[in-house]
Amino acid sequence: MLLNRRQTVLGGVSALASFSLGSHAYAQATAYQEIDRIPNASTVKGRLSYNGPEIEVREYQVSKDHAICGTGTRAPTALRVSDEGYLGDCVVEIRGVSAGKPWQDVFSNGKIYQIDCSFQPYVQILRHSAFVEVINYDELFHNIHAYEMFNGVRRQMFNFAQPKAGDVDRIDLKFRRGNTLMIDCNAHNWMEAYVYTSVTPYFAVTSLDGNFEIPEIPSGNYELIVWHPVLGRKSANISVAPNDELNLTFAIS
Amino acid sequence: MHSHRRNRTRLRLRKIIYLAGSILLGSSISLSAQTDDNAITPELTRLGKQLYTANCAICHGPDGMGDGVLANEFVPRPRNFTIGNFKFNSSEIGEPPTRADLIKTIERGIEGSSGRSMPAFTDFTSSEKIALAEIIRQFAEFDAYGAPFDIPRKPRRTDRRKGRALYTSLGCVACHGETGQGDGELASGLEDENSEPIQPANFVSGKLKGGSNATDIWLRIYGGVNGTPMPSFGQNVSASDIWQLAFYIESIAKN
Ligand code: HEC
Ligand code: HEC
Repeated sequence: MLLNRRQTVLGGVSALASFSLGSHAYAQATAYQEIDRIPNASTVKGRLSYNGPEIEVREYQVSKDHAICGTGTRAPTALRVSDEGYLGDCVVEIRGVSAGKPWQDVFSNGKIYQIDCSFQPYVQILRHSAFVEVINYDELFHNIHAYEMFNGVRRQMFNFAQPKAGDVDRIDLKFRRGNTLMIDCNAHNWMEAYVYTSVTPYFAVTSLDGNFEIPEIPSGNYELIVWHPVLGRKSANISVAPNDELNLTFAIS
Repeated sequence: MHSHRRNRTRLRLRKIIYLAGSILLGSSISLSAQTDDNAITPELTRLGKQLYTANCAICHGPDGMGDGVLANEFVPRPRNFTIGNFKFNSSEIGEPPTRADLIKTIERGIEGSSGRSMPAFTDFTSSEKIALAEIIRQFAEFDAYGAPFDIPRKPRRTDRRKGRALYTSLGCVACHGETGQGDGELASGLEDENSEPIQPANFVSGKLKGGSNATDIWLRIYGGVNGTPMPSFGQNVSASDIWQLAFYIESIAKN
């Protein structure tokens, strides 16, 4: 991935017709119950591709900190589509499971690295009550500015300075209404990252070749959410039968 | 264009202050029965609502959403209280403001380097100010006010050279500019949480929105200015370094 390049993408395969755009309030589900054994558990996996139009991304001139940030122009990561049209950075979530697999610790402790004037990772998924550690690897001034996104409104959640390399700060995520955090840096406009949180551990982020897998799902009827920082949120109803393996291959735009 | 807009704002403001004054004369509801300041009685809420509608809704909107009839006249816009972020806090980072913080804003209004945007309301009684703060707390949906933060003691010695060096090494220059006039290289492209343009403070003007004494400035540097690009430095800069920075900025603002 060359960061200094204008990123444009071409269309892909077929659209999933049943998807509808939604922007609902993030309803805090009734408390999720962790259980050790899930009888007749199923898996939902699949592969996502992109079939929308080319997207132009605003580029920013690198005006300072050249030794670390590079020269010329840089742009936000935006869409990462493989040569075959597969789409990375998509969160896939199955919403509505009331009792299921236990949370793994990694979802309670997120990490955001500031490195080479970019945030890594670009999209990550965490537990709704998680904390994040922000680590500055760059020997320069960064400020990490995070907003909660909710129904088109953004509310600053935190904004703090990390003036030097080696600064590490822990932030407990305290959402008021939303479940998604958008992060930018006022000193370097192209820097952007997202944290998507959930109240149940049934979610995944697509890899750069578009794959995702969500195992150990109890059978039932759920809502399937697909979310991407640039493409937004889409949802569909999904019915998971006992001992099933659903393979969803679809394109979004 | 821009200055035209500002002029209009000032003209309008004079009228509002006048208006606010005249409304206040009529609203002398007695609160003598109020013994416990912290008790949130239905009367207190009713009084707060009344005062709010009469004095604040014109800018902050009937439901506190920052969409009053005059809202578009101001950059930054009147605060949308329902978002829940406040700029001038003396509580710990991430905590809601204290009640005293809200009352301080009501008493002093808001005046920064580009002029006054919120009038100072100097005639309210202390019960009336408590009632207004309560309405804002309800709009913002805080369970409780923040607790005042225990500010570390001022160092005895002012080290101006150190303050100046920190001002450069901590990146203040990029926004506030070499001489503190709010004209650093990042100054022109900044946005607040409403995605509207925001200017870094011009310290040379002597007018700081959150107050110009070293303690006010210390709190702004420590906790940042919520909802704007001004970050909090409290996590990664020592309290005594923040004091030296605060003394330095206070001295620029005084000249
Ligand atoms: C003439 C318009 C106007 C009126 C009238 C007005 N305000 Fe404001 N107020 C503003 C503006 C503009 C801001 C935001 C200024 C900024 O962010 O620089 C603001 C901000 C505030 C804040 C936020 C302070 C912080 O820490 O972030 C509070 C609290 C507030 N006003 C309370 C009130 C109350 C209470 C009243 C009525 C008694 C009132 N205002 C009347 C324009 C007004
Ligand atoms: C990324 C840009 C940025 C950086 C870096 C920055 N500031 Fe600010 N600062 C701002 C903005 C924008 C405001 C104005 C907020 C407003 O008007 O609501 C501000 C406001 C302030 C205020 C409050 C002024 C008032 O009106 O009450 C102080 C004090 C201040 N900054 C000091 C500093 C110091 C000291 C540093 C370095 C340690 C610094 N700032 C770094 C952007 C920045």
